Amino acid sequence: MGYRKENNRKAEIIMRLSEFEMPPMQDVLIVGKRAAIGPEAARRMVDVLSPEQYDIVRIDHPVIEAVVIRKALLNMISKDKLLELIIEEGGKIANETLIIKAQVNITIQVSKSIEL
Amino acid sequence: MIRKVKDIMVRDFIKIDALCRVGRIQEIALEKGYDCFPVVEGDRIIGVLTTQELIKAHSNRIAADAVSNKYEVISLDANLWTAEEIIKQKKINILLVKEDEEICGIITKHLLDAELGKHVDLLTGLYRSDYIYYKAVELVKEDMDFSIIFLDINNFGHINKTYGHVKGDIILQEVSILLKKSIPSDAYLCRFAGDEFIVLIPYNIKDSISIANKLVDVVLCHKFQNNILVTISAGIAGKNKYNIKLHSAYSVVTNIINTASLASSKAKAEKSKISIAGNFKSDEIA
Repeated sequence: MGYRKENNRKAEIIMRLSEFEMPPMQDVLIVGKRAAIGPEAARRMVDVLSPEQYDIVRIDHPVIEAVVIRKALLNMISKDKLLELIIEEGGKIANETLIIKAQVNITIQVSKSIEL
Repeated sequence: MIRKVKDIMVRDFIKIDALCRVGRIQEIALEKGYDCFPVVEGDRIIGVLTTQELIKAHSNRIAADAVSNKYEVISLDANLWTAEEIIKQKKINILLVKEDEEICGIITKHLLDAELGKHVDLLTGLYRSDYIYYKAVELVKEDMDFSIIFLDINNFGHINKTYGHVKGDIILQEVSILLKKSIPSDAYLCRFAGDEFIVLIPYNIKDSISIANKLVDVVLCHKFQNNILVTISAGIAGKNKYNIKLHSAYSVVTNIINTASLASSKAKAEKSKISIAGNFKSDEIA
């Protein structure tokens, strides 16, 4: 009994479309001291793509050279407090060669009582 | 003659654009053998890249992210001692040399150390006269009082002939140590030539007399090898209404040193410990 040789190749294509964020970074970028992109390059990138929307803070840290922060966040919380938090948490996973992006959502809860 | 920055600076260098990739600069450094690059953005200098920064930085970084701000700008006509003072004070290794708002050369600490090493006397470890000229010229320019004590060893030729030049050299070394220990902390000492030393004191002649007496006594009281009797004579001169009228700060200093030297010869001839300069003519030779 003979058999038929089938040559049946198929390609499955999966596409996910989402909006490209400009610049291609989120709320915070933690730049390691020996990272491939330094804070000056990051500043130039965000200045071209989103002028005046990011702040670059150079810091004195064993492995982190600078933190790039979306300025809008600083309207809700002071720079010092936010930096302290970023460095505390980011410092746990950062190393000299890494650039870490962080999503920071700030929700302010207000509870007030008023007289009826 | 006081040497200037322009006499020793590196003229062959490359300016690097702030956006240039570090990896490319590393290649240039290897190919050309350069060890320092000024980094510019347009016409503005934003820092320097030395071998140290190039080794530390990731090769994908841009120059602007690897630069060091540990540099200072110096003028083409600044002298080498000024350059050394800036490097020491600011704790830096690089000076960029500027002429008419343009960077025209680089001075590194290594280059400067090698050059200034030539101005240190190998036998005594003291500076040579160039350093005293520089310091004195600075004081003239700042209109500060100062005086020069010119010291020379009595009968040093006789000591050399009697005990040999090796012993003579040991005496020069011992005298140097004694003088160094005995001068005030704000004074400067150099071996001027042979058995002659100069102390630059940032006070007027009157205040320098006691120091000159002390220096002569310290040598007189010291017990040298083989009990050789060593004595020194001192001549003192300072700024006065005659020499201050000379047209350049350098001429003022030359005149004062020459006058102090003549005073020292007078002290020796009169067998007195010290002599204070009177009205020697500036062109007399000691």
